[in-house]
Amino acid sequence: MAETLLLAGTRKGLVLARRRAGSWETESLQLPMQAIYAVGIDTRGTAPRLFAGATSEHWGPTVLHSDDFGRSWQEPDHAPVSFPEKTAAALGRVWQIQPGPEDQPGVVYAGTEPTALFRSEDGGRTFEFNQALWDHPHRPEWAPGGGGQALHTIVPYPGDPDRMLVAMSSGGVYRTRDGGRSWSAANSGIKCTFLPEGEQYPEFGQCVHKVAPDAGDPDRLYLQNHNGVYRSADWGGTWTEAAKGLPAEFGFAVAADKHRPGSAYLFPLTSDGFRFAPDFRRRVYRTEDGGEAWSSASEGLPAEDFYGLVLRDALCTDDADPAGVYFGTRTGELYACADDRWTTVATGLPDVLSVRATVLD
Amino acid sequence: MHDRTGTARPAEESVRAGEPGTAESVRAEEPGTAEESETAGEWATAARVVIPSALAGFAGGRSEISVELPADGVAGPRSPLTLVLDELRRQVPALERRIRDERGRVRGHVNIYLDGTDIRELGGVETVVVPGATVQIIAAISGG
Repeated sequence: MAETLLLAGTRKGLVLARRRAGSWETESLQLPMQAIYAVGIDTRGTAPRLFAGATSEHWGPTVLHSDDFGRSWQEPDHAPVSFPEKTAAALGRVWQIQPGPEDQPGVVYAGTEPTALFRSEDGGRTFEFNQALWDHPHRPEWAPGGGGQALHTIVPYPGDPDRMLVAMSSGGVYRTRDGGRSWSAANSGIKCTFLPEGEQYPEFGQCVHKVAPDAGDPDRLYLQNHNGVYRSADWGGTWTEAAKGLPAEFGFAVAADKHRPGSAYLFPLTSDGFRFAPDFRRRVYRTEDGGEAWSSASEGLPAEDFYGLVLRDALCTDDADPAGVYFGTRTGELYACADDRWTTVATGLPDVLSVRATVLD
Repeated sequence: MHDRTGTARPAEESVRAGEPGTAESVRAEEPGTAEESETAGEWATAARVVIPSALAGFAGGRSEISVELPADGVAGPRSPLTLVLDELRRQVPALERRIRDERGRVRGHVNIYLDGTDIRELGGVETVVVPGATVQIIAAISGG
């Protein structure tokens, strides 16, 4: 049986877990006292490169990488992600680390607070600032959500390095077709329930929580909004509601199977004003028909009351076919699903902020 | 990469390890008095920077560093703290970026004491540091 590697970034360090012969084992906490808002696994090289976007309450943010499964972590002496002097800004936190597609070797992207996009061409050691997004005329009107003003979602476009989609809270979805030299908002159809009637469909300003691309077609996307679940069949040109079968439309996370078209996962929460899982139960919802309908896929999850939630990057799939699915909670629980059955990987962790997983050959 | 002078630097990598070591100067020269240095026109010891154990790994395991400033430059032997930190950035960037952000602002939960007094009660980073002064970096109360 193949071995699976699971990274979980928590508010106070990084947890690395492995499944061998069907059993999960967690290793000792790494990078202690650092909030790991972003983790990444780059599987394009000969060995997986692990990433951690780490922020110390005292000593600030950085990006580290490991080529030996977390036994050691490296970072440049100079800050790997740093705002240019002319911006007058300073890095608050790295919210996203996204390796590029297979056809862009060495390319890794980072999304940050304050809202900005960075690109690495040296495998994630050092990153360059994207000036065009920073200069976007909408930027002065992007406002911080509850977690801060951040670019938290990066969706490269396989086969076309000039195209990319990003999402921010708040601000919404933006796309480039020219390799990041210009960006345009792509929020048509996404509702802002926090605005008055008649003004709820602005060009931008949406509080998009997460976007995931479908396995079969990069133009097909799933989106968890701040109130509302949407899908797009035209790479974000238009969005339509896709919440049939869900017990609630609020939530933070969405993840898609990497091989099976039409397959994606959500962890719904009751509402903006009541951020608990419906009925206080741990329930993951899955679509297998591209978002036409969703149904619970929660077999094996504990039945007792649950007062936590799943944050935007704390739900993910691995690269198996069919995908293993993983989520971590703000109450320090970590779960994995294989063959339609969930297993408890760990409990008692600090709040889980981010998860990523891969199957090792 | 950018530093405050805009100078491109190679991406030297540091590994989070390092045995605790003894304090040593990051420059080879032995520190002399300001007068001697001025006369020599080369280096004057500006400050002894004492760093917390949490940051020793970013300074080769050292618990303190003697930061020297050019006596014949704009800094001189009596330098504002900000120039001491600039020099720390030049010499030990992996350490300095834990103390200040890329705009040169001292991080919000970092306290700096100059000869035992919080620099907020003095002139902040513009406080003049005399040769032989002790600059102590301490983590503020924070977090959970």
